[in-house]
Amino acid sequence: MSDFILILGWFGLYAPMALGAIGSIMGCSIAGQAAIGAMLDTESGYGRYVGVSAMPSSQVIYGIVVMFTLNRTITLENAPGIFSIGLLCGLALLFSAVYQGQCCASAIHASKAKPEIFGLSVAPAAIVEGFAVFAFIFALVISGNIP
Amino acid sequence: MNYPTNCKYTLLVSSLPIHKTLLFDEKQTPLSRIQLNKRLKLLDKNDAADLLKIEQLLHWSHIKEDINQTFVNKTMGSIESLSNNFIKNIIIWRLEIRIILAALRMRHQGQNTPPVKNIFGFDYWYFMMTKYWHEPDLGLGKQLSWVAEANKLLTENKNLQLEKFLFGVVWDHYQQLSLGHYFNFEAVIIYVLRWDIIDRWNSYDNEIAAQRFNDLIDAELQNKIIC
Repeated sequence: MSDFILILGWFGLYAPMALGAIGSIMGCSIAGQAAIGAMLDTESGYGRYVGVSAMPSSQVIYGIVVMFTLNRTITLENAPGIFSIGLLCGLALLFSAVYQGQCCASAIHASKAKPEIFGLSVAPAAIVEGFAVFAFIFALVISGNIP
Repeated sequence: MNYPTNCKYTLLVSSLPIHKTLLFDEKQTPLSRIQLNKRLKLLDKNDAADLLKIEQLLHWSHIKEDINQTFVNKTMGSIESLSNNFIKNIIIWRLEIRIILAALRMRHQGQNTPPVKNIFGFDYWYFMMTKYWHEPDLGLGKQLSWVAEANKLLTENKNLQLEKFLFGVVWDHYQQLSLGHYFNFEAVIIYVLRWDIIDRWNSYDNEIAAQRFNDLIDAELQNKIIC
């Protein structure tokens, strides 16, 4: 049983990084495909489409920071806490990246027809980013209580 | 090239120019059919087949047979073979519009009794239409608000306005259906169907323009002969 708890601890340690990376892969892929599609239909603004499509990459960075913050010698005392924080933070980062990718795709699609709304159209993606930041910051805060 | 499904539709939908909100603001199709077909090559085999089937079912230009029971059965078979219920419902809705309009036209031409059932193909509204054959809206006004207006235009022989009105009804219906479908196959289907409406509406204008052009040439030639 103790081995299993230790395994969960290691799982939780790497989860924010791995799940954040998976989310970023999916989010950037969705937004990136929208950017490529928009390039087929427009004559300019390619740079900003690609720039917006990279927005979901921040989640993997948050995941790396959380992983390093949680990084310590895994013991029976701290493994459950590391598992819980790591897994839940990782899931939050994963879903935020995927849905941010969808927001970015919509922003790219809408702004190619109306370039003047570009700034505003990115706002929903920024709001989603805000929730990812909440998950990230409070994972850092609460990890301070883990022995 | 095999793309993951989600990404493929994101790419495809993003590569298509956005339609304007109002149909009659569109003075031409946002991209040519050649360009549209090039983009639609991103569809996988089954989706492309479904799209072709929809266009064959809805476009008058694809209907070369007499409209009889065999044709109706064939059409129903084609609809049943579609796996996507969203698409099925779109086709049925469009065909129902045509059936109701056909009934209005029959009545307008002086037919006093409703036609036999099997000519309709779909019997969803058949009971109402037969029961209320002599009502202006065929008893469908509460469910389908456009019927009364269509009947009014038909009885006033305003054919162009009627056509325009019906295009508007279909356009608005597609607009409504498009909500919630942004980067998926349904969004592509709606896009293509709306493209078809713009194309048809503008083709009508082209026909009028060509006719006007021919009339002017004839008038000019006659003037020269007289001179």
